[in-house]
Amino acid sequence: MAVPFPELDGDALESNRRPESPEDHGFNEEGIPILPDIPTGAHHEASSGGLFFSPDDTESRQLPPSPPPLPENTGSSLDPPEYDLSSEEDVGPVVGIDLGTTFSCVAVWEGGRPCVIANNMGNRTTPSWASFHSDNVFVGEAARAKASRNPQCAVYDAKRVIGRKWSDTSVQESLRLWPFSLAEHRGNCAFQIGSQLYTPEEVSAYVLAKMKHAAEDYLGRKIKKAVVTVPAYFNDAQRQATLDAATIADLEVARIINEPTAAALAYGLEKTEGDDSLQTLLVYDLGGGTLDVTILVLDGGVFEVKSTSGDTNLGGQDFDNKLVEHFLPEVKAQCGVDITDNKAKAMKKLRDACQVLKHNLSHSETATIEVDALINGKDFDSSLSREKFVEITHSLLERCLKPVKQALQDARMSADEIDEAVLIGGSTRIVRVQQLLEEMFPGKKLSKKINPDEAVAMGAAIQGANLSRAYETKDPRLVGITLMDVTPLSLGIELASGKMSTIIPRNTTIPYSHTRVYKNNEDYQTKAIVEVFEGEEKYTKNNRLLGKFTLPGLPPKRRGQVQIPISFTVDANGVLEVVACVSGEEGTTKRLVIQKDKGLLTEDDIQRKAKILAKWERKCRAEKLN
Amino acid sequence: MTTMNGDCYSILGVPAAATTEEIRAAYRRLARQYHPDLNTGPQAEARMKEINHAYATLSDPQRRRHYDIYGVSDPPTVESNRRSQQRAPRPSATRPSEPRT
Repeated sequence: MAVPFPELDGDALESNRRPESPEDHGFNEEGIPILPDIPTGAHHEASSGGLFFSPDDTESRQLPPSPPPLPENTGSSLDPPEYDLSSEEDVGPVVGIDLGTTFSCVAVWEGGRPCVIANNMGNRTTPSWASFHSDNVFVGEAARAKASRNPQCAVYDAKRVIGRKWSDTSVQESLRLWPFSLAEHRGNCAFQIGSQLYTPEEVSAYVLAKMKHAAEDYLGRKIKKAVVTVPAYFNDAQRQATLDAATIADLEVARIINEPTAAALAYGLEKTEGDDSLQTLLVYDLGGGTLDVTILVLDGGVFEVKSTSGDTNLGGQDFDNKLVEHFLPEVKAQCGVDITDNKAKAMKKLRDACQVLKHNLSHSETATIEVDALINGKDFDSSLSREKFVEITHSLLERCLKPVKQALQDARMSADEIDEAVLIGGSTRIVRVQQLLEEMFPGKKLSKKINPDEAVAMGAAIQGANLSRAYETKDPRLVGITLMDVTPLSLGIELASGKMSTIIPRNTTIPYSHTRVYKNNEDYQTKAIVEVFEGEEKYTKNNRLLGKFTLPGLPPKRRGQVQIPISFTVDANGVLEVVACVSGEEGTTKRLVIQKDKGLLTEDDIQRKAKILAKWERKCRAEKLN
Repeated sequence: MTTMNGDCYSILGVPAAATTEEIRAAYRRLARQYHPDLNTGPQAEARMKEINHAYATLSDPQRRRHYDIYGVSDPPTVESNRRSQQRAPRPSATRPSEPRT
């Protein structure tokens, strides 16, 4: 069986027992959770690396004033809202938005089914691109079109850096291949365009706003609420940053749901009609930037997630990167120039051509790559076979099955217990990926029944309708649809030894609450620090600090004589609340809610950026831009 | 603190000899009834937490066995391999009682 719990070993001591029963001598010798004493120092420093919750991080972050200077005439003539709200109560439908790494998609529940909304270009998915210019910001197709002229102004891949530290190895590895420049901003990442810095939250907000526009145009009314999806394996900071992006785009997030779960909802809704049999699905979601694997059981409308696993840094773009790297020497040989050297336009052309080549390899044994006037008027052409493609991307393909194995192990299942593997995300079109899955699940069909690009948004729309009361009473198809999601990462506290003591293991169905009892680590200790972490590593210094507080008022007793019950509660939205008290001491209860409003941006930042965005939206509406 | 005092079996409304299938069916029925997405009643979320807790305990054979013997559903921990290095005298391990959670 999987052991999702960190090993607690003997040098952190004491037992774990109920508060009011001193006669119960500890039962759990190996389980020893002990709080770190206050003045210990060293291990706290060790863990300060990854915090996003510390005052340092949450203090006002002074980005240079980032608004692209918009013309001043966005005054009263543009101010009146385009759509009337019939009443304050009526918040309109809750749309579902799949905010993807490379493409985004919006859907709404309409006429008894989720319905994908096309954007103003008639496309059902919109590139997650934004292009910043002195007089305007372009999003989607427009931004990508601008990129061929001004590649350094157009940014994408915000999802790959959102909520991540600058020092993150995955960020550092990708840097070289991006045509835009990324800068460090107080330890986090920001896109640099000229002298301006744009946070990934801001860039995502523009994309979300664009999706909102499409929905508003389609429905003819203002949209206020949305269900937004994130990769299942996103950590708390990444989820939070996504929420901040929604706030900037003036969207109230009804729920953040995991992409594979959303896809399963879309799939399951079609499937379960009139079919109450129990089914076990494995959703394999390989998108532009992330891989997510989720195993869930469908039983008469109840979607119970059994386990979820993934790789937040594996997706179609990585395959593109490998192709680019592969062709670079050839480009140099043919054109005589090293285009990595500050030749953003050429790099973009090559990357686009590599993408086309990759797509072509999904239906042909070999494909050609042709770029006219790649650099200095010289053309580039070459070809690639599937076999060679597999060879080039070998290291990526190897990582494709790892999360599948992990998810199976966590769900305590074997491959033959999976009834169907559902493929989601554009990159599952890669032939070799499909072969790998077929080998993993011999004799099982890989379901491609739902559109891999749209399933996630459709699922989000289903959940949106489910959460909006008006629909719930109306639509019989949604009755009984219940999504039982899980915590993607283990949650726990740090012990005096610097080890992680897990209180809620990963893949626990939420809402959930659990209490463990800890003890004082030193004689006559008066305070205890409670540091809350998420992650799977044995030592907390390798996990992520979510927050901490100090519990005062410990009675002066010998080591191990004071009992401190600590309870962790995760609600249906995934918000963690930690409550600790000293057993038998009145008034010592301390409470910490790991705020969903404590991201990398401050409230001020968010408000300021939201204003800029609102102004931009009005401008776009008035001038029919984007 | 949320109360978790109830007996896992009675929370799910199944007999102590219930099969995994029966436990699962009972759980899904209760989930549909109490999940806070569907049930906006004030007690629904607390009830759902109890249900999830009970199900997490009883759906894992190892945890269920532990619960049946000791009456607590604490997450299992890996046996220490360094017990000899413990520095402080240890209370002898006796039967634990259910932590009041």
